[in-house]
Amino acid sequence: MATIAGAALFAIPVVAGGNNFIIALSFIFATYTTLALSWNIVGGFAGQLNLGHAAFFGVAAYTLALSTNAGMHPYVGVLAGGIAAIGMALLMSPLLKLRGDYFAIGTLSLTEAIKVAILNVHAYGIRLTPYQGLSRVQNYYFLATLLITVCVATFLIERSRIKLAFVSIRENEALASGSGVNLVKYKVLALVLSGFFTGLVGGIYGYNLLYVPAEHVFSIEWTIIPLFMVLIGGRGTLTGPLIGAVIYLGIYYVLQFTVTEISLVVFGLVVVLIIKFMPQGLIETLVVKKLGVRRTSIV
Amino acid sequence: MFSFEVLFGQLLVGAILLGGLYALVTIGLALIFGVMRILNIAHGEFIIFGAYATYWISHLLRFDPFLSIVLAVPVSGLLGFLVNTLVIKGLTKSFDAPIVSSFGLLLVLQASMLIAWSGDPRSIVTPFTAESIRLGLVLVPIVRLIAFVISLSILMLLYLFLTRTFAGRAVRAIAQDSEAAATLGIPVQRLQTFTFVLSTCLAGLSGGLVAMIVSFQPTLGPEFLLKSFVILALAGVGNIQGIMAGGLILSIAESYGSFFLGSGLRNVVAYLLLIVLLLTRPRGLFGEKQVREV
Repeated sequence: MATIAGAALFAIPVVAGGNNFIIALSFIFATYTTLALSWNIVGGFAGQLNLGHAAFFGVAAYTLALSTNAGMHPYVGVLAGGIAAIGMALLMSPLLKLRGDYFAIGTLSLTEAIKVAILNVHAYGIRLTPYQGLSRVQNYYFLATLLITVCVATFLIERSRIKLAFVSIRENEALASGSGVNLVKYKVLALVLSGFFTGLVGGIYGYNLLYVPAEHVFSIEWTIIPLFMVLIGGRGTLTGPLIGAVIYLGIYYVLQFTVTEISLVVFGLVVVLIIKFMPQGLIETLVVKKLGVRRTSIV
Repeated sequence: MFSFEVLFGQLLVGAILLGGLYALVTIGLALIFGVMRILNIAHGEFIIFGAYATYWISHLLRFDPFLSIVLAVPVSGLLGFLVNTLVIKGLTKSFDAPIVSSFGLLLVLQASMLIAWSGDPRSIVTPFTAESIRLGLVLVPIVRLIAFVISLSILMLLYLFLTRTFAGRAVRAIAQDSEAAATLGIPVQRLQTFTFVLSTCLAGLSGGLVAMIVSFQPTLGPEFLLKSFVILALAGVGNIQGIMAGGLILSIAESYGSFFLGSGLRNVVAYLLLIVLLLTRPRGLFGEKQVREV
């Protein structure tokens, strides 16, 4: 199953041939899905409502833009972006001692502060020159590899003791700490992992766009959309964010093409309704409760 | 005559007047957060809605802007009542359900306002716009002074309501411990609805006042939300004096910060202030010491 899905992911450009629209759409799908999976590590497994996800994305895209313009190979620049995002995660880590809402407010403000500060220096963003031999198709392959890597990483986390530590922090911090879970270590680990993967996505996204405006790469959409995907699909699993991403993007694009004018209004309503009637997420509510499918999980 | 002292004083007067309005902008968010434990991400949209309600009432009915505010307040309250009944009531207790739900609400309100009233910046012109009183060497803009006085009186009335009346005390009891309040026979659900409506009324009022001072557009909501966050973090939950002081500190920091660092960094000052505060004083500068929840 997983192999078939992986193969299909790589077959898209071949099947699409020269159809740029399909490749562009697949790129967007893969971008958001990878972001959802990486947000899930902090927000889903470890239960820290991180509203600063866009900071990882933006910092990495910026690092990529600066290093590529300095003459570095773009994909090395993407890696540099990932490392810069780790730095961002470490900068953000003192906020982890805050709980719940306050962590959310803190991370959101930090992201906004960085955005406004950068806008002050580069009001119009940075343009990139395309590198010889790296087309959109190569970028897509790079991203697809990344998506599979994050899936594997999530799968490994799910099967390991790390998940137990993360979930225990999510469910009850005091009890987790009392049972010998090192809160600081595991929270920072979750944030760094999440930040690194997000940074790689931000880097490749920036290179694919060939233009990195701070307004766009630090935009809150890079935080909120992955968050919705995780909440719709169900948090702290591998399948949840994947299914959430497909449902979210499905609804979003259907609305875009049908009720273009009022798509955001309808979309907001859908979000409100899902949270109101299925607070556990769509998957948890429909599949687990209604159909009685047992999930092999310790929670 | 123009000297550094005059400039300094002018900045200070502007900051104090703005600080009172900032406190009023925040109080709605603080009430909902304190009493219902809901972080209302759509708070800024209620403020903008109040601004539009005031604008249209004064524009279409040719009413005086200040009279329009009085009429816009119940309109905002009605919107709040609808939102509370349709969206907020019956949400699960988990802390991220309300955040995400109110973010959906933000999208709905912001996009609806954009469709209905376009993204053009608007402002409300009052009979006193661009007029000021001379106070020594410093100029005091009349509209800002009026907004300051209204904000301060409303906050004082609210303080009296919360501390001196039975209903106000019941609201505070719910904020402290809603289950214990329920066992004492306080109608928690009804008072929570009341609080939500009251908060949106206050947001609408502050929106009307804001619209007389700066130009507004539908996408400006999140900026007010973030300012409210800063003040809330300064004040800690549940005290009006703290929020007044917080509004003042924020506006002073912003005024002098943007004067010395350039106006582009105005908001950066606010955000950094917030982060430092969250890390060093998680209960707020004036927050009460509380037993840590387990």
